[in-house]
Amino acid sequence: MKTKIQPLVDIIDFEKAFYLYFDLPGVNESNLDVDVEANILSVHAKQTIGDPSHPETYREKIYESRYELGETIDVEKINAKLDHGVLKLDLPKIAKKSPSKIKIEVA
Amino acid sequence: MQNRKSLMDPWSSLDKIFNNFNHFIHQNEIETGPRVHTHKSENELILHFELPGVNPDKVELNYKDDTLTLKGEREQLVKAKQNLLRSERPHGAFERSFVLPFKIDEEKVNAQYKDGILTVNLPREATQSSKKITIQTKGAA
Repeated sequence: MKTKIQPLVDIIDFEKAFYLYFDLPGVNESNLDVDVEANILSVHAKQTIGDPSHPETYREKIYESRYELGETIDVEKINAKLDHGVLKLDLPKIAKKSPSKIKIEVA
Repeated sequence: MQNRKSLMDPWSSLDKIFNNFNHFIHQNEIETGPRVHTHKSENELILHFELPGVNPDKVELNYKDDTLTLKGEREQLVKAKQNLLRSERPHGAFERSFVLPFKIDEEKVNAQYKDGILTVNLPREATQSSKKITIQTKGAA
C-alpha cells in the first residue's frame, strides 16, 4: 500500500482572493490533479523520487488534500500553477453585487 | 532553524471557508529541516532533498572532511499586508549535515534541482580500495 499524506499548506486571505500554496516536492504536472466537484476542492498528486528504471533508487508517495469551499469562492475562476514543487492555487472571491432595487408594481 | 507558528488551529472562521477533513502536520519535518531520501550503493551515494519552492541560487552544498553540509533558505510566499490564515510550510534558514560513508570523487559530484527535489550524486573515489591490515601477534598466546 502506498503512503498517502496530506501536503503542508499555507492559506492566505487577501482582498479579492484566497491563495493556497501546497508543498508538493517531486511532483510534476502529469502527476497532479486538481478538481472541484460539488464544492469540494481536491488535490491529488504523486511524488516520484529517483529513477524508475532503477527500482532500488525509486520511490513513490501519494499526496492528497480535500477542502470544502464556501459559497464566497468563484469556482469557475480558480487558477492553478505548479512552480518548483509548490502548487499555487488562486481562488477568487465572488464579487459582491450591489443591492438591486426591486420595483413594486401597483396593481 | 525553522520558524513555525503555533500548530494549534485557532482559525475557527476559516473552517467555514475551507472545511478540511483530516488535517494533521508532520512534526518531524518541521524540526529536522528538509526531508532527505538516501540511496547507497557500492560506488555511489545518492541524496534526494525535498526542497519545494526554493531558489537554487540560495542553496549551498559543501563537502569537507567527509562531511556534506546543505545550507539554504526557504522564503515565505506571503506578502506584507496579506492575511495568513494557515501557515504550515516551513520557511527560514535550514541546515543539514551528513558524515559520508566513504571518500567521494569531488570532481564527479553532481547536483540537480527539479520539481522541488535537489538530487546530489556522490560517487565513491575510485582509487580507494579496502586494504587488509595484518594483525601481528606478540608474545605467547
